[in-house]
Amino acid sequence: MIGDLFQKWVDTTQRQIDPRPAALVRILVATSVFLDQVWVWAIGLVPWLYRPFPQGGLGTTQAPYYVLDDLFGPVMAGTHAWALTVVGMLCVAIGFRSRLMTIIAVVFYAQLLLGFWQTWHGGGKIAREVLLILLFAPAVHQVWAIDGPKDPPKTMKAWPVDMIRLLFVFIYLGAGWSKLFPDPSLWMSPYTGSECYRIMTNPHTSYLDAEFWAPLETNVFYVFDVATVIIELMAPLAMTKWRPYWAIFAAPLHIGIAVVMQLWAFSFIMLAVYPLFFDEWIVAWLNRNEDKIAAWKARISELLPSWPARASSSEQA
Amino acid sequence: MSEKIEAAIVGFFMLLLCFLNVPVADHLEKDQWTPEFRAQFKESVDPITSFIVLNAVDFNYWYDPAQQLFDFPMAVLQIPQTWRIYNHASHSYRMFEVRVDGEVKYRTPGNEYRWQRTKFRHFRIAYQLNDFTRPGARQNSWASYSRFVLELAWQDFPDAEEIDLIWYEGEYPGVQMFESYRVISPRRGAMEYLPVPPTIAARAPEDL
Repeated sequence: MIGDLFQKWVDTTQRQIDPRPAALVRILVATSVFLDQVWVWAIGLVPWLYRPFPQGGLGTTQAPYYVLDDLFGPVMAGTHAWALTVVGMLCVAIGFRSRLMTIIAVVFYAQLLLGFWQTWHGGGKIAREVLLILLFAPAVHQVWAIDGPKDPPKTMKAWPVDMIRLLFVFIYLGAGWSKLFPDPSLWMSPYTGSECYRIMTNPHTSYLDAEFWAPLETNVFYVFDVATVIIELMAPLAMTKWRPYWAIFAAPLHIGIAVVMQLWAFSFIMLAVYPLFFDEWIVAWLNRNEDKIAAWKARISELLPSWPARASSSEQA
Repeated sequence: MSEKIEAAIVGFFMLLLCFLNVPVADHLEKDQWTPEFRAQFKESVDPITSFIVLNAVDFNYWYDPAQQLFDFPMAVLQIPQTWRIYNHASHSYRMFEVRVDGEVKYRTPGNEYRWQRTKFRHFRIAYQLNDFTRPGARQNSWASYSRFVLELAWQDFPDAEEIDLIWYEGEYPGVQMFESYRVISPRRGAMEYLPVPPTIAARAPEDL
């Protein structure tokens, strides 16, 4: 009995799947973090956010395990960590030594948070954990990678993808649970006012006009409240074959958060993982359009500088 | 590596992932569950809810010490997935304003005053300006954020005589706002927190 169950577990974790949706996640997650950090630089916030208070910046609290001050000095440590995160994420996205660069980018991205708590956002910890799990899937780093083999692997073991889906189940369940307990009335009762209304009209962080939208608080926004909790608590569907249908309802949550609350970085990182829920549709689309994709790849290859070709995955094997 | 060994390791890490991220334990404040509070809770809810919640609380008692075993890698990589953000939205409507010699240069709601808006509306700044800039607030970061805004203001308006940062507070939907506190900067590099007495706080800003 136990032997049969274990064999079933072995078969489940070792089953072969197409690595392209996971490779797409690698690219999109790293790109989202890269663009977020480049935007911080573009609007002139790097010297403020990534510098401690005594050195003229905004950082007031440093967590244990923050070690960069010892390496680079307190004035420039944050800027170094930012630069290494940006370069690391870019390399992961384009697939240049992406497993090594994943380790570098994740470690320095975490150091940014440990040193400068204001830079925290939920997407960051998801990006780091997803990239760390993908580290154990070599095929993901060979597909759509500029230093990948000419003939990248066509399959990978399924367990890293299953693990990321499981992680997302807990993320949504945690978010849903925290809205229900200890006070379910906050999100579920129409008589306490709508939490979505207050979040979406918060004058500091959101864009809707509180006075204009007030008449809809206890009807339309209340429906948003309940729908949010239901979608989050239905996250276990992400582990089943119904995952794309669940994701169709869950994705608008993040689009709304991005547009109304201006949390673009968080939303992009969350949505960057969604190819793992639409994986079957993506693979079917890629297979249908194989010729067109090959033509695009050829065009892109012509534009890129030539790189020492690596052996194909079968030759490496 | 043998498939079976790999599957066993993967199984261990998946269980670990479940254990570290299980939402039940994380969102129940165990300190409040005294015997009296338990009894009160048991009477106030139906038996099924009582059974689920009280068992979850008991789980919480042994969960925390066990979870602490994994504190080091979780903290170094900053990957604990505890998700309680926005489980409780702010029920007070707040407004932030920058005035240079009395003239409004930036105000949080609306698009009318756009000075340094890109910086102030960036989520890493906006959320802090909202929640943490009050003296004595969490992390005590009011001084760093006030200095940040004032430094930008003195760079852009070097000939100003006084720059004021003013926070207002009111009930949703923010029709009537009252000044709650103010930071005054009479010259570059100097700032003074001015607690607003209740009598003045009851006066609405004249141009709203």
